[in-house]
Amino acid sequence: MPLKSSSIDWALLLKRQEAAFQAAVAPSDDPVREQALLLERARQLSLKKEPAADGTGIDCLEFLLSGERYAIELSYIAATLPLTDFTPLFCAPSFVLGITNLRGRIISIVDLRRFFELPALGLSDLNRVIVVGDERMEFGVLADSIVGTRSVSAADLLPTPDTFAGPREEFVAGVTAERLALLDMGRILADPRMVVHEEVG
Amino acid sequence: MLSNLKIRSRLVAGFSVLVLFLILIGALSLKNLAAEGDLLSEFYEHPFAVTNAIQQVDTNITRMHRGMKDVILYASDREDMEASIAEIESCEKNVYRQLALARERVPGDKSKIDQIRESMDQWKVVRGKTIVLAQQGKVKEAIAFHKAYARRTVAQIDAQVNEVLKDSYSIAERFAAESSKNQRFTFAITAVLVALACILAAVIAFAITASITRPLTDAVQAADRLAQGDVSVEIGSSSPDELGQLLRAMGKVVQSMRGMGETANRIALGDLDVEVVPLSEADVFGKAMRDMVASLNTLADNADRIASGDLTIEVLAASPKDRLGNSFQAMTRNLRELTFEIAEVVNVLAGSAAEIMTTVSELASSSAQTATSISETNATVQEIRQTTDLTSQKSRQVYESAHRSTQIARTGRESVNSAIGGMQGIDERMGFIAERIVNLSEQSQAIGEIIATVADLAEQSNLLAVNAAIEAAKAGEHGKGFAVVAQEVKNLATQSKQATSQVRSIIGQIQKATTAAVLATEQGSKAVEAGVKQSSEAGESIRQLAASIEESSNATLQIVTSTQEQAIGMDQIAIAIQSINQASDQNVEGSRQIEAAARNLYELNQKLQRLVSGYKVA
Repeated sequence: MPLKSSSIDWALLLKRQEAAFQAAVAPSDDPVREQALLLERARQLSLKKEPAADGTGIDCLEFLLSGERYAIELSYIAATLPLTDFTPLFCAPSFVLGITNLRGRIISIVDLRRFFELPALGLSDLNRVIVVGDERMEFGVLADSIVGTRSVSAADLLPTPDTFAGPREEFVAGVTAERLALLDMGRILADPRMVVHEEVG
Repeated sequence: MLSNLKIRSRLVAGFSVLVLFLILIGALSLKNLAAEGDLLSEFYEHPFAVTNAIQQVDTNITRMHRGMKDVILYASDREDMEASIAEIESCEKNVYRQLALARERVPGDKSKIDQIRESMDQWKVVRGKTIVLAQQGKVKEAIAFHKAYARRTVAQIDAQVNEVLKDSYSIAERFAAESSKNQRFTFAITAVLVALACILAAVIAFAITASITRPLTDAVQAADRLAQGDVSVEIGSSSPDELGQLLRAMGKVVQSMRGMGETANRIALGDLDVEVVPLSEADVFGKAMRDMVASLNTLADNADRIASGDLTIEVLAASPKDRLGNSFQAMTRNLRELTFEIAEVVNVLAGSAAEIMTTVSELASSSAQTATSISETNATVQEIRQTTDLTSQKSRQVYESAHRSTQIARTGRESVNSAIGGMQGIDERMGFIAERIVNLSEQSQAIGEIIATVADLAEQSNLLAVNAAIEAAKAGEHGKGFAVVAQEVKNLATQSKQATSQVRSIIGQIQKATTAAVLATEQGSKAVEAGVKQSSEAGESIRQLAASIEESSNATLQIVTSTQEQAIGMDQIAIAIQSINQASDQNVEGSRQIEAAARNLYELNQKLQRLVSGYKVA
């Protein structure tokens, strides 16, 4: 019986290895692909211009909360930051998650879902904080993730549907056709419930 | 002439004639009897009475005479003389009385009687004188006187009396002769008449009897023939009398019976189209015949339906004793049951025949196959026979090669030992490869950590871009350019994130590949281990092989001898198969015949089924 070696093609394997090494060492810039990418970006940027030219557009920040899309007007937003660490506050309402340090300032963090008294809480990552405020009030709003800034036309806003029942109904300025709920941040900031003043003996 | 009269008239006429004759004879006889009586009374009154009276006169005279003698004789005894005188006187009275009678009765001459009386008167005087003399005791004078006068007188009287007597006798004889003559005449007449009457009676009786018995005999003969069932007899009579009527009525009966007989004959010949009309309401025979024809027609209809295969009919018996109806009913029922059973049997038979046909066909085909197989077997046996020879040669060669194999086995054991050494070297290399691969896996783990850091950076860049966008928005019109920059930064962050996720997936693949490589080397190592073990086993096997080759070389010797025996056995098998082949040929032929028989049976059953299906049972 002639002894047949295994079916491994060692020569081919070595060649592939060589090719892989060369690919790793070679510069990664590809002028053609880069050009195409830049063109695509330019096109997208030029597209964004149109809703802004409408005049009635509202600049807002879109974010996700338990799978639902919400938006806050940019004028109320101070900054966004990752939720690195926070300190829970005792004797505070349940919607107050705790307090955190923002560049030397102490701000409270609010869980909007609890504030809206939504009965079923969906799965949540809750790793972003949107710092909102006006001249009287300032606090952080928890979000699952931040989608980005966008402009919403006032004409696109529709009245709140029936599904937006409960406390959140009064805090929603309008809903777009894509089910993006624009929060009336001024009213939330002005709400007396936001001011926690309780003495515990 | 006689036959034109009615029987009663005939009898009356005959009897009348006879009765007339009887009356005639009777009258004649009575008249003759009366004449005879007259003659007899005349005879009695005249000759007979005269004779009688004269005889008594004679007797009394004798007694008177004797008395006179007594008177004379017994004149001494007064008493006796008185008695005798009394007796004489009584006799004298008698004589006179009788003489008077005779005188009265005597026909013809009465003078003689008168003479007797005169004589008697004379005698009386004489007697008186005698008696007186006797009484005076003058006996001798008395006797003499008596002798002188009395004797004479008495003799005279005797003579007169005898004369009268003689006359009287002659008259009596004349009478008797006349009577006898008259009697003979009457006898003759009567005898003639009686004879005539007898002859007439006989004639009349014969005539009447003949006129009655002849037609009666005809009627009796006809009735006898009728009683024996012969209706061909012709009875008829033109006579108007009762017998004629009887014969004509019988003739009608015979005619009617002949009609019935013809009808019955037609029925007996099976002609049921006859129309039987009863002669009257009371015609029991006609009605029975009509009912019988109707009943037979019904039965015939039923029989027709049965004949046409309709067994659903229910035959109703006309009466519990209706044997034909009951038989029909039973027959229909039995036929129905029989047909049912036959149908079932036919069905079963059909199935059986089909099965037999199938079986026989299979048998035939299998027989054919057997025949083929046998011829094949025969060929095979021949081949085996040749093969056996070959085997014999080969086993010899095997024996020789077994020796060589033993040496080769030894060489093989050495080769196996060296193979085991090579495999152990491979095992060491495998361990080295596995170690290197595990190192690579650890390094890719480090790359993964770096990539996580990059992803975190990308995330932070993203957030930063958002913040920048917010700030740009706050800056208003001046922040427009900055907003673009922020957008670019955001895009970069997004791309970085995508790149990190790609790298992470590649690292996952690398890790999987390395894990697979490690597992493969481990398996390789195990395979080498198994190879070593198998090589050792192979070595052992080769050793055992060598031993068994030794054994087989010995066995091969035995094979050589047994192969020769096998060759002989094969020859015997070939002969046996030849016999089997012949038997199989016969088998095939037999199964062909059975098949033909089964086909016939099947066709027969089909025919039977068609026949049975012709019967309607329900």
